[in-house]
Amino acid sequence: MHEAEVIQHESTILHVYEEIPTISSPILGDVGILTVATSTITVMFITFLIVILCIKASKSKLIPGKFQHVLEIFYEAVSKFITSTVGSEKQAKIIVPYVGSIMVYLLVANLLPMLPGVASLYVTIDGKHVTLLRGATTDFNTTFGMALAVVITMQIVGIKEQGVFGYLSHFIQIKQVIKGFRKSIGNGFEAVIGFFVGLIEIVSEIAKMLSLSLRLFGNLFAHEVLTVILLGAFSIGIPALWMGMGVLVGVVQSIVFVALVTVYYSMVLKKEH
Amino acid sequence: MQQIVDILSSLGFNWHVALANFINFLIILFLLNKFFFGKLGKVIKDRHEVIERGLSQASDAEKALMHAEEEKKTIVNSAHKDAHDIVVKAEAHAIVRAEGIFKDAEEEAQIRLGKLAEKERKVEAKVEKEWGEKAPELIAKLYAKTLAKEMTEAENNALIARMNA
Repeated sequence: MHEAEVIQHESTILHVYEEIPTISSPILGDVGILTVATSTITVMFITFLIVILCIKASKSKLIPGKFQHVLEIFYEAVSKFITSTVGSEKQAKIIVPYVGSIMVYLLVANLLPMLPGVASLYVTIDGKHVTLLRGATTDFNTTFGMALAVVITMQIVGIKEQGVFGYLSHFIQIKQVIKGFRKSIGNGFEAVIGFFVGLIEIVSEIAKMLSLSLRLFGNLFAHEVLTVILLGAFSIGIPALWMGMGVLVGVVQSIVFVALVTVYYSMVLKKEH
Repeated sequence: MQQIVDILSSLGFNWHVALANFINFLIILFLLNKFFFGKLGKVIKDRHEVIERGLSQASDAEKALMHAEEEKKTIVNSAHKDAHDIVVKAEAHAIVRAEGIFKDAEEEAQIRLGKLAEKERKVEAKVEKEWGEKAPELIAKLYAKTLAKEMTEAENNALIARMNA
């Protein structure tokens, strides 16, 4: 009797183990050079939700309704958070739309899999059932694409704020080197070191992209995998707690991502390094 | 570089998918930027302005109200003063007038009294005159009546008493 129970338990774990999400999301097909994976479907679904949100938000009036109140509370919270990080209200105003958009997207993307029913949609590929709406941020491609977009818009904002040459001179500091040598040789060599630091900054832009995307992907994917394992190991109680933990992880990771992006933006906005 | 791509592809990196998600995210970024944060920011700013304007107008109105109150006070005060002056003037006028009326009345009363006295005197004179004319005749008649009648002692005495009274 006791043995039978143990065997059954093990088989449950094994059975569930097969359903642990693969690290890359299953591919559904190709559209031109773009490949549609299950996470892409989720991103499209999120886009659809956000379009509805934008339609609602664009109807905002001077005298707010209930829904607009909620949106404004969110807006105020985000702009307060960014102002406290950046320090100046004027600079915060420039980046609120960019950083706030990331926050909205991440909150929707991280919390969408928590909704009951979302994870239950299946498609069959090669006789295997795969979740259609796989959590968008549990796919590295999504977080990478996102971080890429964030870093690119960051460069655009930097160029907008400081001018093309003003912004690029942070990376290629030829002007500073010439200036330094005109002053004295010591200053000149200091500027040469600065020149190499500037070149390293280019690498740091790529590093930003990778660190942002890998952190988000790692946390969310690990949570997903652990959810499946815990669901197999304990069928009652602990998985529920873990789902609650998922809400926490989703929100915290959104805030971490946004906080880091805010700091990066504030570095782009400042004239002095 | 190839190494990095290899490491990333072991995490499921596929640049075709990444490109699709990148484009999707750009669309989301654009939509949220323009319709969510742009619109809400504008609405909040507009509301801020409206409230600020309203508040400044309210303080202006309060000032105007205070000013009006002061004006009202001065107006009421001057009105009170005017009223007092008018009353005082009216009183003085009334006293003068009353004295005049009193004097007129007295004069008239005097005149009427004089007329009355004259009338009385006339009546008296008339009565006396008439009495003088008619009295002998009446007495004669009375005497004739009394003499014509046989009187007792008592009756005579009573008559005498009555006439003496």
